[in-house]
Amino acid sequence: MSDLLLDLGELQQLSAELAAIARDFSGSDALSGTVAEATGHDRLSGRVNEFASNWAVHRTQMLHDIETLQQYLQDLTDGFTKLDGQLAQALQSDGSAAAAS
Amino acid sequence: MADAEYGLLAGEPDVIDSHATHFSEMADKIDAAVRALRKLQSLDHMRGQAIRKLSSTAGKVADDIIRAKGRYTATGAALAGYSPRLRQAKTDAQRASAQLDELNGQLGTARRSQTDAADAVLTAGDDPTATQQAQRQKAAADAHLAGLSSDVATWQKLWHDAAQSKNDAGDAAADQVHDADSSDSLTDGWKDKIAAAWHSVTTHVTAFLKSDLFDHLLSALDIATQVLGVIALVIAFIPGIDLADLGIGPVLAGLTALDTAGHLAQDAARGDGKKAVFDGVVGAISIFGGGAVKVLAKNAARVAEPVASAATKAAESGALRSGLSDVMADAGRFGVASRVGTVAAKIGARATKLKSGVKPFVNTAGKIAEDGVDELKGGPYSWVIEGFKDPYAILGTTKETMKVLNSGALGTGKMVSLSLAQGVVSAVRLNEERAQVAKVLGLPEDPFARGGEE
Repeated sequence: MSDLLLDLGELQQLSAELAAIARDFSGSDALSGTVAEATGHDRLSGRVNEFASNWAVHRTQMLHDIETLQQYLQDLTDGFTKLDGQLAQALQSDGSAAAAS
Repeated sequence: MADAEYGLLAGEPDVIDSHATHFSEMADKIDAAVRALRKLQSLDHMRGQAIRKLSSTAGKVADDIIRAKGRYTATGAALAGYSPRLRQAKTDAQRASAQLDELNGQLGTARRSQTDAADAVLTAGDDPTATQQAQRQKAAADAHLAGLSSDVATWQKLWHDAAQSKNDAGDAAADQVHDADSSDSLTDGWKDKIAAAWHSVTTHVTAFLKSDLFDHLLSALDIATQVLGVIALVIAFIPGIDLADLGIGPVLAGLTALDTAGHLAQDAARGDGKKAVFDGVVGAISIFGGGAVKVLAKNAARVAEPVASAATKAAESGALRSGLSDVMADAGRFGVASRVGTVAAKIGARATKLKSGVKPFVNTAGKIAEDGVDELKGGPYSWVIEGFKDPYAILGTTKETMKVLNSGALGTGKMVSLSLAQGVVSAVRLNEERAQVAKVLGLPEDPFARGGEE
């Protein structure tokens, strides 16, 4: 681990954005169903439903990739945050011990 | 969703607005995520071993979701464009509808007035003054009715204009969404759908194969196979009853094949590849190659185990206790397995007697029996064949046979062959099928006649 430079804030932000996208992807059928009904127009309603339904297979695969990546990001940021806290605690203990001696 | 003529127009602009905003925001979120993913992918300012692993998948996800952005942008824009036109059309149509309701009420009254005025003209008689007054009233009623009818037509046109405006706006928005959808290469093709359906099926099947329910079903099938196996063994040794004619052999072989296929599927679902491949080979032979007897033989141990255990217990219990009890106990343990082989041998021996409709594996059974015995004749276990010449002598060799089997020195094939030979000898001991057995073994017909009894 010779080079370690992480912007945890950016990673957490990205993780949150991916989570929001994943949520929307997984709920897009219901979402489009609602708006399709609200259009009050047969043809537009059909197109809006297709907007969600005609890429269901691709979207499921995409959703899987996003969730995997998002979980990975989450684990990564959690892990580094925990590590950072432990390092800080260890340094604090060393400092206290040195001051006492 | 067609609008009722002169009624209120369907559609909820507020709901559409909120979704249009949501879709546009989603497009922005995708944009932001893609930018962040690209940054992650480039590793221009963040470095670390874990990040390097992460970056390889970040690029793929970025490439994927950027394609979806176009859909969200276009759909959001289309809905945002449609919503105000729908709102205006609804307002215009609602106003027209209200006016038409009122005018229709007035129209009814005017028609009644016109009818009354027409009646007054007819009933005025010869009085010129009364006639003129009635005619004036009728002319006024006609004019009022005509005016109202004209107003109705005007508002009807306004309603139709509003409805047309809504439809035009809807069609334009529909085209906009469609154009975006068909240009982003995300639309699923039939291959994608088939692959997804197959994936769904395999997922459900795998889940079923891993389930406790399937495990219980398989256990039940195991038991059924073993029970039928034991029944077959018993029947095989009843003189005068033809096992093959009863159809038990094929059913047993079929059940065993099914059982093997079930274990194969379960092994595969649980990820035990090596075992699955082995079971698969055996299962495939039994199902497609007509070699059900191999499966039968493979499962001999499984079939034999409970019966052998029972036989041993019976021997030890005293029921069979005698000077030969130990030998009998061993014979019981080994004999059950061997008698499964005997079933195959008997089926094979009778194959020539069977007519059309005989399953291929019945013939195969005979061939395997012959091959197995031939293999043993010239090998280190030829003493088993020698024992055949003196059926009672086999009792003396049973312990030796058990030692060989228990030592694990024999592979599955040889063990089956040994079992077949032992089973044949057992059959001879019961003094049945001598000619057929001799034929199977390739020995002179009935060479042991009275030999063992002397």
